[in-house]
Amino acid sequence: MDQHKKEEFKRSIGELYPRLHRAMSAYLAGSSVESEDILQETFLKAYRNINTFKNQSSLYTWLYSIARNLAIDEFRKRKHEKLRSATPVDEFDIAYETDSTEDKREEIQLLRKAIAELPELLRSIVVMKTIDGMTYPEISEITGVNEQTLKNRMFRARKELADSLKRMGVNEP
Amino acid sequence: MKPYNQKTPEELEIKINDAADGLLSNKELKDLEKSLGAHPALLQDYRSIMNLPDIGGIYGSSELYSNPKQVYNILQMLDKEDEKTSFYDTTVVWFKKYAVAASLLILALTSLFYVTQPELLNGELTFEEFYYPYEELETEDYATYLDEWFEQ
Repeated sequence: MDQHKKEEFKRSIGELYPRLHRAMSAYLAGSSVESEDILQETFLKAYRNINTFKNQSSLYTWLYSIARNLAIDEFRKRKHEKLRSATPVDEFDIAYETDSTEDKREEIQLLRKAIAELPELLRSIVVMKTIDGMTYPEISEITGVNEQTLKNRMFRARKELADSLKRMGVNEP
Repeated sequence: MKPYNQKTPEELEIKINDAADGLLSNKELKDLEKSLGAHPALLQDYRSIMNLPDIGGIYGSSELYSNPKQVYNILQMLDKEDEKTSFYDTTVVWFKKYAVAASLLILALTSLFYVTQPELLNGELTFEEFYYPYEELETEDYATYLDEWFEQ
């Protein structure tokens, strides 16, 4: 039974990796924690505990919660690292579609920086909802927070993002 | 459902969020905007939030993040993990499987031994006596010699 689950898990890595990598890149942008390291640890930890995975949740949300917990552990270990707001804008230049213009690129960098500066509680929800496209029930499953509270936090996150972008001069008439 | 003009600021915040998620109909949007007239700060937040640029695409598509080399490394790592755990699992399985068999065999052999050696059951020989037969010692020979000498 476990062996069957393990084989299935190995087969799904190629499919799950890009989405999780994208989400973790957004979540960890501006920090010194490498998304590749977190992903490697995530898959290993999930593999070791595959017998605890119940099919009630999707494999992706299960992996996401492992990855997020590992990242939070890393943040705790490195709590003395430089503040996110001190990270230069050009460090948010990670991966772009090749057809984006210079102005668009600059706006994207500022948006990434604005998201990176949000507190973890708000940033994680913005990444899960807006960037990764998860539903509120899925986010609730990962964070253990009820949907009303999540929506309230999402409102706060959007408000902070709007304020932050205004300060940066993005989206001004 | 409560009318928009009776909603608390917290409930209106959630409605603003729903609007930003694109979940409200045109009529609901109009009702929301109307009720926000009584909450100028929230109306300002609503406008700023609805004016936010699209964030969904700022990290590009998932394809940009596929990394076959990294996936290969992860699979290699999991194979190594299998090798580590398989030694442990094999040891446990073998122990469980053969420890019981070995115990039964020892019990059977011991029973067989007693059945084939009836004198042991009669109490004439103990187990130790069977395995460590009595050896005459020189001191005992000397005692016998002295007995005989005194008798003479």
